Amino acid sequence: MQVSGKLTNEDLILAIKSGNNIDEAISFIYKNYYGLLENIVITNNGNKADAEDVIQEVLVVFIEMVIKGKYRAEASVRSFLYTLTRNLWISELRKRGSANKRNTSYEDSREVIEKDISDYLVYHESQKLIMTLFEKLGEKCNQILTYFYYNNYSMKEILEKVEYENEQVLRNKKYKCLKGLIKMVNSSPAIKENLKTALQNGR
Amino acid sequence: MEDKNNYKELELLDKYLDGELDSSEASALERRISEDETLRNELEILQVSRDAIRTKALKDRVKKLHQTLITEIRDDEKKVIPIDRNKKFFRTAMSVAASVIIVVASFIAYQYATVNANKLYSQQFLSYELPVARSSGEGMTVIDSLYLSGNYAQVIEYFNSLGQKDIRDYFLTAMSCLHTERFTEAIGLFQYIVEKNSSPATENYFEQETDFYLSLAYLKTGEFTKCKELFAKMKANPKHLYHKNITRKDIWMLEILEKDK
Repeated sequence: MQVSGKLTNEDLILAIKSGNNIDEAISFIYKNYYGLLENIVITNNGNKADAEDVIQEVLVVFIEMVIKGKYRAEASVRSFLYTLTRNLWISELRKRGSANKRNTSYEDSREVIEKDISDYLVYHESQKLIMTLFEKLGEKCNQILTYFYYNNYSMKEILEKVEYENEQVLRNKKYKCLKGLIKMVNSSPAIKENLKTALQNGR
Repeated sequence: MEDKNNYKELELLDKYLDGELDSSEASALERRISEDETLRNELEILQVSRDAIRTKALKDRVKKLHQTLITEIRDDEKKVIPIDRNKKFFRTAMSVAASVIIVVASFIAYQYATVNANKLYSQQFLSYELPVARSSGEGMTVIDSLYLSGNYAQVIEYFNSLGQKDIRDYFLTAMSCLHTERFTEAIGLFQYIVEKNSSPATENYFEQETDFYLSLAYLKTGEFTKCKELFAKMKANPKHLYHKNITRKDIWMLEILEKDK
């Protein structure tokens, strides 16, 4: 698939779902929608640095929702990204304790019209907490688990990239890392509470 | 020994999530999961953790790309040359400008002759996209779904049959009036929103969107002074949602239209 020039919504979704053209899809979104999304943050008590953080998070959530089939083509990508940015920025403002009158008005309408996104963002919050625990596992565990679950490399492929004697040693290391992560997640009341809500909302 | 056993259990759950167990192994595990809350909890945490690992990798990928892409965006922004740093360039430009003034004058004359409200309207009009993620279903109002599907006449009809209406209903109906070229009705609805928003007791909804689309409705009904006032308001406020949509040339064109009237 050739990803250049003007992409339709369908091209963009296909580029993400195929997994092979995610970088091109991100690049297209930046070139076409960054200004629009940045404007949402800047015109609502944010600055350019805030916008950079929020837009990166928007991209992560958007790509995940597309991959998981949570993005419905009834809304254009532009409109979907707009909504995501607005939601994430409002959440951030709320965290900062500066939810002003205008933010509150956005908040009220959000609950009614954008429940799908709100539900997913609750789940995403749990993910963010688990990601911080994942980082605590150390570089080696991070590397191995990423190879397994994100890159989908086989044992053989991973053995070529990391220094372990054989597949059994690598397998033990993988599950030791994973066990460590699960233990930390299990002992975090904040994550468990958040997850409970997310699972009740159907993720 | 305990760890090794735990890893075996974990490996089993991991393979289950990957769909690597045969049907009898999967059924046996599913039976245990339904009876054992601890095991069920372990499976849920494993699933969410695997997901978080993927999210982290994606986050890093986006971050890396962002660094390259944002540099390009900022570079593009810098291409707009600040005037005070380029005085010398502008002195030269002024002398060149003097020699091409006849061409510019001709261009202005051409613009003057061809400018009209319809042209300006069609240059400016952007269809308002409803910022929603869901289709017509739970959580979406009837007006939302009618508007989203482009049934503008039905939006207006439905609005007129409604008892209680909120600002969102007014805005989407006003937009539907623009789409169906019912400009006077659109103005009435937009003015209602302006009036509501001017009350200190209410929250401001669609305030900036209303500025923009009301100005376009005025353009169509020939109320150029009111349109120009709104254009000037949006142009004067860099934080206005539609600031970038309005150029000095647009305001200048409106002045021509005002004089011609």
